[in-house]
Amino acid sequence: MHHLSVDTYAAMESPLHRLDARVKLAAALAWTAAAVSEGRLEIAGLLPYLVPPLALLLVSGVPAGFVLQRILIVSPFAILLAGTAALFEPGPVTATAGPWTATVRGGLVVGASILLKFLVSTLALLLLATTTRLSRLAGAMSALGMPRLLAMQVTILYRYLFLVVDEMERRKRAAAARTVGTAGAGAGARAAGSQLASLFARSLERAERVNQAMAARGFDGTPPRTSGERLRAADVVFLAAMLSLAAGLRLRALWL
Amino acid sequence: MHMANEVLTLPVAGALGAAAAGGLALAAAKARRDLDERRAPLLGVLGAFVFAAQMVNFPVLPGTSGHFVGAALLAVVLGPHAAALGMAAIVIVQCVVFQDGGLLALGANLVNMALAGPYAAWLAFRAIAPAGRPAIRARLYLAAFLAALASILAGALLVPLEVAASGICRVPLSVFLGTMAGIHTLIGAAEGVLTFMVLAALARMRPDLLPGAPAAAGGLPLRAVAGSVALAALLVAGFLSLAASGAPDGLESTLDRTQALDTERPNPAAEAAGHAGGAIALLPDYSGPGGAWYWTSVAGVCGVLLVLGLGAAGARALRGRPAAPHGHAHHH
Repeated sequence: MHHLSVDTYAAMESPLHRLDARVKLAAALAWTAAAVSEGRLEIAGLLPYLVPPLALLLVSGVPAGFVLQRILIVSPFAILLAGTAALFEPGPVTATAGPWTATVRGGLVVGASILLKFLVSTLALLLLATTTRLSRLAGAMSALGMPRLLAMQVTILYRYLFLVVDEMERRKRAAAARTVGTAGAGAGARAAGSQLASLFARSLERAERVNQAMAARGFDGTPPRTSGERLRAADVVFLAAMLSLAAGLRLRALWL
Repeated sequence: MHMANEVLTLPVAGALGAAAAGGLALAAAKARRDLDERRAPLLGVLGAFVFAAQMVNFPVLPGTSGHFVGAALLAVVLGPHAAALGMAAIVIVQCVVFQDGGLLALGANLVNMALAGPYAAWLAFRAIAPAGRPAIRARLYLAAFLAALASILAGALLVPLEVAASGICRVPLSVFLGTMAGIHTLIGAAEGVLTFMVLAALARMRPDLLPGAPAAAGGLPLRAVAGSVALAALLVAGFLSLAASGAPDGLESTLDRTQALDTERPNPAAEAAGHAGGAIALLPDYSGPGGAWYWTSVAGVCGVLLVLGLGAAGARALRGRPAAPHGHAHHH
């Protein structure tokens, strides 16, 4: 398994990369919450939510093509939901766009709104993921109240994921090399079962070795406290700007 | 199956986030007591294993394949609390690194997959194979099978409920529930067989890793497998006919409600229908008179029973001949 591109981009340098992970996590969450809480028939009002993330994407230097590719990869479920909504709500609604009005199937409006919300929230999540290393993100999550034991599992899982997946790939290749033609369903299931069991046992053995190595280096069972990062001026400004932008967009009815 | 941001409302997402936070804090406290402190990296490495194992496809039906989910296996081997933490780490990495499920929906996904799955699996497993009592292979098989089925179904059935509680995507609940339950019973059945096979292979290779479960090495207990597959087929038929029967009623009721929403042209009849639907909005499609969905389900189940009966009779007739192809799958 090749090193993930998400990781490669997270190791880059930019003003956005340098921001505190807690601040970015809070901003992404607030942005998602503001967009998702828009009405279920809202379309035009969702478009402005795309602008700040796209501007931040430019600042971050993460290639737009990569972001688009990730969005397409995770989009099938959102498309399914939008399609289902379109299917089950035939009632007509009146849509207005400037001087034009049209009566359209309500489900189509709901579906389009679902897709736009998906776009905004996935963009925010991708910005967070491509500008923040997972270890720092896990630290931020534990700073915001996640149990430290769990935060430690997240970082360890991610560290060993590549090793274990590589081992799985080697096993699958070896099994394919030993199999001529296609095995029946029963034999296939049996092979999958014993492959999984041996991978499970080897993973446990690996975990035991990791335990011993960590104990030898003085690990006493307390997860390391995440470095007590201080918020810098840039962090505070960024968070304040994003929170007020989100609130301003969401509550635009009050001032428009 | 990952929940998505865009079909949740803030109160629902917030409530599920709070539930996930509370549940995982409890699980962490319990797991800390269960697990030897220095064995803490165990969960992370096993989480990586489950992640990798999800890449092994196995055949479900001709032409379709499922993949291993792993919540039941972790729950049986590590206990529910540690399994919940392990699954939570997986769900978080899936969300942040692979963008599976959204940030706001993370609470929902943690409840569905990291809390409901492992605890349902553990309850089902312990109900059938109580700790400290030796059990025969067939019983252990059934325990593993039902644990896996429960873990998959628990997570899958919460999704339609959460979508319905939010009310953004208004699919009739019985259609959504029936479809999800039908498909996930198939997936859960495959997960069940695989979970038992992994447990059996583990009992052979590293029995020390299974303190709770007595040795279950050996092949599949064929009778129990046949019984479990029949049970799964019944469930699938029941769920899918529930989904099919719910569709027309549900379509009408959503139609009524959408028209009632259109306040520009007041329509007394539609409004009355909308109110009738709104009174029991959580189960809008169950409001249809006569409970027709119920009878369609019964008909579906009867159909499957008939087909299974015919199949069993056919198999018996075939087995009447000498070379019974029964024994060779037992030895391994």
